[in-house]
Amino acid sequence: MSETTTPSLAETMTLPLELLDQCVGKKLRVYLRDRHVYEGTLVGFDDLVNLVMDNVTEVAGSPDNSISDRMLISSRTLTMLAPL
Amino acid sequence: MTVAEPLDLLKQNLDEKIFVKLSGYREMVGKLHGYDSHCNIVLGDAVETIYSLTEEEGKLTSEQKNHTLVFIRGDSVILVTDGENL
Amino acid sequence: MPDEKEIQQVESKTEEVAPTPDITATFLSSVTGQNVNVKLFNDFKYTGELSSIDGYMNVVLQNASEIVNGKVTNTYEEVFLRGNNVIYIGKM
Repeated sequence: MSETTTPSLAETMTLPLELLDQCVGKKLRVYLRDRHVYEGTLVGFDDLVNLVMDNVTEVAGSPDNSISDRMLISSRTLTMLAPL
Repeated sequence: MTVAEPLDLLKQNLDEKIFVKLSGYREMVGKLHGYDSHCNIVLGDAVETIYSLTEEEGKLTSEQKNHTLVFIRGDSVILVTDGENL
Repeated sequence: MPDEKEIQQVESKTEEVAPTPDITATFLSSVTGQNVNVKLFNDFKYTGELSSIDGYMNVVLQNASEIVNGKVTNTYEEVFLRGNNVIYIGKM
């Protein structure tokens, strides 16, 4: 139908999960609801965007810089992901 | 995953006293009559403790209420543990 | 003609973006029986041995300490934590 517009959109569009896939192995800042912010290296994620991360520190919120070996962050309160 | 279900802890405690921490600074101790997968809980002979801070001094106070039979909605449940020692 | 190629390229791109579906399940199985930190939405931290976990992130910890503002406020022999309050589950 709109075949002429679809390719040009596809050229410029980055799918969100694509961006996340590109971040695997990289450092990521994770923003949760209610002022919790975490920073760590993305190991992987699932369909719901639950995240598995290495070397995580808590950046904001409660002053709790727990560096965790490996951690699963629940997608429940996930708000934003920012590659660093 | 070949591990036992977390809800089995509730199954184990049927007819026993349990301690439930709820959102809104509340706690309940009572006999577990029943539960479901949402964590809705029915307690018998329950004591509810409601914590609050006084406005001026910021002192922690609590008030208690008794319930012969009470239904707790699952989405307010934070934690559940054995209540025998309470 | 280039248009069709581009469409195909995008289609294959989306197929390649397969999130690793096993990674979270693998992590959870690997961490069962180990000492973990579970942080809840109310900033309460629970440290203990992970006894079991389910798809809703409901968790049972054994010999758990409850830590609030860096201080241990309670210990529980066996405690059930409801999944919807869980922020993270970390290996210690």
